[in-house]
Amino acid sequence: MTDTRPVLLVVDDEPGILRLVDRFAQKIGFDVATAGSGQEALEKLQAGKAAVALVDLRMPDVDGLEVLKRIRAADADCHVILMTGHASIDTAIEAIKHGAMDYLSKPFDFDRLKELLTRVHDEIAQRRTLLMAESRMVKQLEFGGMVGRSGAMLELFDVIRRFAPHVRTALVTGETGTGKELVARALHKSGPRANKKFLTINCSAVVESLFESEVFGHTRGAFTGAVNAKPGLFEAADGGTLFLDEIGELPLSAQAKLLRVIETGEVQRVGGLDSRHVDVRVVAATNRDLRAESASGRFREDLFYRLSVVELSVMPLRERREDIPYLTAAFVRHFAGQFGKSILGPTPAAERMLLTAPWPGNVRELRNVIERICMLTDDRFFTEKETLACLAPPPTRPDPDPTPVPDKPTSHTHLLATAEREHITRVLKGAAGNKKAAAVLLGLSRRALYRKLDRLGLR
Amino acid sequence: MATTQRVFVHDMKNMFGIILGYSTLLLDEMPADDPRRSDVDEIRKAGESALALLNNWNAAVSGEETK
Repeated sequence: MTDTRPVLLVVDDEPGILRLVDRFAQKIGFDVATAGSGQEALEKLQAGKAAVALVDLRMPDVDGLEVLKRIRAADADCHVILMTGHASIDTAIEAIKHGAMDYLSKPFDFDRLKELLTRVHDEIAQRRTLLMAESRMVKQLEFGGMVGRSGAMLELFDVIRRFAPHVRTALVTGETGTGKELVARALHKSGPRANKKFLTINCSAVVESLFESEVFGHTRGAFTGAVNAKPGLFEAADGGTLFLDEIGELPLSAQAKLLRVIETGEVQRVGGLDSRHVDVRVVAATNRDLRAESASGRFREDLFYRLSVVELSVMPLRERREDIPYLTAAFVRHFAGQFGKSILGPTPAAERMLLTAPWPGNVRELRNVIERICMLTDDRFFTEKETLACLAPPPTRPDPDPTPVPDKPTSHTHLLATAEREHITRVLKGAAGNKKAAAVLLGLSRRALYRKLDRLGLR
Repeated sequence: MATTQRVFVHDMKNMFGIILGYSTLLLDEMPADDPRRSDVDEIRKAGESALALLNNWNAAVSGEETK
């Protein structure tokens, strides 16, 4: 499996040429697929991918230029070499403009063809070496399950290492999917409590009335259903770390109790009178701006200040794009191993797409996208097409230009607004412009629909 | 007339491509001391001359330089 050969697709309506190129290319290390017409070529490309295509310009059904355009649109990583028995400057210019690698006149010069194919072959070998090097690098860049070589991440790792031995409470902030729990775990693992317990509770996932009994425990008969006494997470985590995820969602009443435990180290079970002493390190995380929340009274100020003695913020992925290749390499290695595939990584065009995506869901989103891609692809490299299929929501159609580096990623909100506008327009059309009917179909009140129409500029 | 000529030249070149291509492949694969080398070489040389003839004819008929 380690040495699959790249595929050359030859497209010509003359079977003799197909057989000839087949033999020639096999000799220099390519697997060859052949197509007797432009149509057949496009079908073959749908089924599998090719590293390079050698296409006859003049064919009866779909001509070479059209095949070139379609290949470049479908897979920007596939090189296309056109060949013709009747060279003209115009078609040559046209071909290069549409991204052809070269333009050969028939009967072609085998030395020239060999040179081109060797170039493609070398490029693939280089790509393979690069991706393997990145995959090896990941091990050195890894810290507590996080991967980073950007300044922001290296600084974060350094801060974690320095705080871990001493810290008693910490607040981890960052957008959703940035890996706040990993930071908390790293703080735990790098500190003196590494072999003690690390317990997690998601403050938004527990019903308000149950939160206190979960965290502080309860005595027997404290409330209906409290058949037995139960220790809370604080007691269970004694000596270790308790991680409170989404602390911003914690109801105010529970906040007061939490603060007391943190400050005194005394836990009182619900319904109990005596308190027990616990030694627990508390790490809280949130994707909200707690400073603003506490200023406006939605979060207790004293708890905020207590927690934020040490504040670690995790940078969103779009602000540390230089980490994307290494994160990609780490996830590819993980999922390829899990699915038993030998995927090496993205083709250059796919990598550009990953580098420029908006990533509103941060590293978690990248991880999910790579997982989907690894399920989809069976090749050593995954392409732009597969990446596009797995990125959600799909960005605008990629430019078939060989170096499509958009200077600004399409913003998420903009995409949403576009989708909303299109959907509403469609429904309105279906309801023959009747806004009352359209509102019913959209599940909106008529007034809400009017507001949306105003906002989207549809009125 | 021009179209018929173009199609003819295109198809002829395909044929020459096959003649020249296979003779080149054969020469590549044959051991250096194979006695049949000179035979294959004759085929290749004839193919090249015929191709040159075709190119000249095409240039003369269409009154312009073609490759």
